[in-house]
Amino acid sequence: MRTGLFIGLWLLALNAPAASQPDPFPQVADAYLVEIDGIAVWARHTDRHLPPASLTKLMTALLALEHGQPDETVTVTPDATHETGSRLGLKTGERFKLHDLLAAAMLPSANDACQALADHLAGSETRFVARMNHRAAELGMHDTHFSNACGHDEPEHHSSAHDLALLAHALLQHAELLPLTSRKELQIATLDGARRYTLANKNALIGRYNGALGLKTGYTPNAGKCLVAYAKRGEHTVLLVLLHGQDRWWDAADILDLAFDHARVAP
Amino acid sequence: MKRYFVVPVAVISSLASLTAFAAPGEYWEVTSKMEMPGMPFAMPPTTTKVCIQKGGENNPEKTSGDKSCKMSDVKTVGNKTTWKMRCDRDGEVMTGSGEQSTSPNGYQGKMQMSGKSGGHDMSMSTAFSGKRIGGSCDTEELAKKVNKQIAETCDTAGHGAAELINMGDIYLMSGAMCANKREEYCSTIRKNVGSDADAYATLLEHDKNLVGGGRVGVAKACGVNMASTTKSVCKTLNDSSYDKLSPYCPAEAKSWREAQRKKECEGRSYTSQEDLKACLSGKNPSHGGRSYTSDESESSSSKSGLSNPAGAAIEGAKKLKGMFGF
Repeated sequence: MRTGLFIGLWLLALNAPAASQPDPFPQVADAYLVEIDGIAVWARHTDRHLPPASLTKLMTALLALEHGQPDETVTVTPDATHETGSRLGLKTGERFKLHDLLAAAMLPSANDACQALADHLAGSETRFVARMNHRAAELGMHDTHFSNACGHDEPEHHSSAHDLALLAHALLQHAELLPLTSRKELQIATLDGARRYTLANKNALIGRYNGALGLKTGYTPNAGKCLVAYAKRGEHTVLLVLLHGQDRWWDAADILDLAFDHARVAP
Repeated sequence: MKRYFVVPVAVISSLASLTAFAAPGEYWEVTSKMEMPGMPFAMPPTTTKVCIQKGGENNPEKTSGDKSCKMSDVKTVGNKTTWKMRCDRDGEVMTGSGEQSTSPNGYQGKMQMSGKSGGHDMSMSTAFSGKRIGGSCDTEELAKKVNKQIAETCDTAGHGAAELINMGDIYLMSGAMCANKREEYCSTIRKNVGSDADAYATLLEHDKNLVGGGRVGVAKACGVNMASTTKSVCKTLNDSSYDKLSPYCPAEAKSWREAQRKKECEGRSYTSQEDLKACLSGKNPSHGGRSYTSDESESSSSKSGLSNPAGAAIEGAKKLKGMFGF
């Protein structure tokens, strides 16, 4: 796949003037990758090992979609309630539909929801992380190693722009994903209806950038501002992976616009 | 009309029109009607007024204005003339025969031809007739007029580079009408395409959409180095050329957009450098520089009291939308 990326960029450099600038945005992030209609066009340090922050949850979501049923019941574990960072404030023993906790992990990037999913799907975070790494290997994510389920900074927790693009493509195979990640806001409730939560999407492009459909934001002090953005206009799609970005939203809007401009004239 | 119809039509028209060679002549009204097997519609007869050399109306070798066609076995018996013909247009050969009968003030005849045209096997038959109108004329007049029109059409000076690129076929195709101006044409293209955004975008669009046998890419035919040309033209990206060049010059387009934002923020008369910096980074100075899209602590290892961090993102994006319209 990595060879394919280089070949793709090389072929584009031969054929498309815009791709003769293979890294036109060196300032926007430590690493980035832009794919237009599934073909890598612009890139920087795509294989560099970097902390992915909450982009990790893309793998958690993939395993939830592959191994869970949307309506199955997930019970919040004590470990989930001890999660730190971005969280909903779930209580031990609260029960949700799996789909609702997936939404909570994806939209507001709630770590307690993410941890509850991991515990439900594998019995413990340790076992879930093993499954994450196994799935990553299956996908050919050779520059990725997960140490936790939700994206906390840890020494051996890293991925790459190229690998996250692979992961995004695997997720996009699931038809139920985009209807979820393209929501600006969503209400969920415990199964008994006792508590309700409003999930606001952290992806500032959703509802504001024409064609934005997802996928995931991430931030930690070490990882900086991260983003996997996916947008569709007409028949063209653009996937943008940013790791340790600068002005994440401005840059994303700029790059997506320029990618769609490029798609308009590409052979 | 598809291109492969154009060539035979041109051949037949030039033969049947009986035009142009230098001598005193008189006017004739010439009508021709062509038929091609497999054509989806019948072509209507065409009638034109032409100048034919006096006495030349019964000699197809003289009356043919098409230099790509050679006549042979021209025989006249009584008022009937027969001939064979071979037309070679850029290696595509059509052969055939014709016959005509003349009367004091008119003639009529027919021709059959077959061979290759526009890359396709082709056969056709043409019926033609001529009626003397009278009146003296110069048989070179039409040729002069045509040559003048060709010279005017091929003159690169009257056209912008973008316009010339779209006229590439008449300079660059094999046997093109303006082939003698090819180097002048290419020189104009090479000179302008690296500094003229419109010409650059037109060149790429033109060469991307080549359809039809024999059409050639202008960049390749003229030896335009696209890598250095792109580099050069991208340096010219500005307010007026942004739309044309942004698809091809992502780095420069990004810088331009950032400069626009800077201008926008500076235009807001922020009082401090900190406010300006905050504006440029997508933060709202009036809220103490709080990030519009703050999702800090998403996955941090510290306990967080952030009750609804996504709210900041939503609020921030609203302001982004307000500022720059997305």
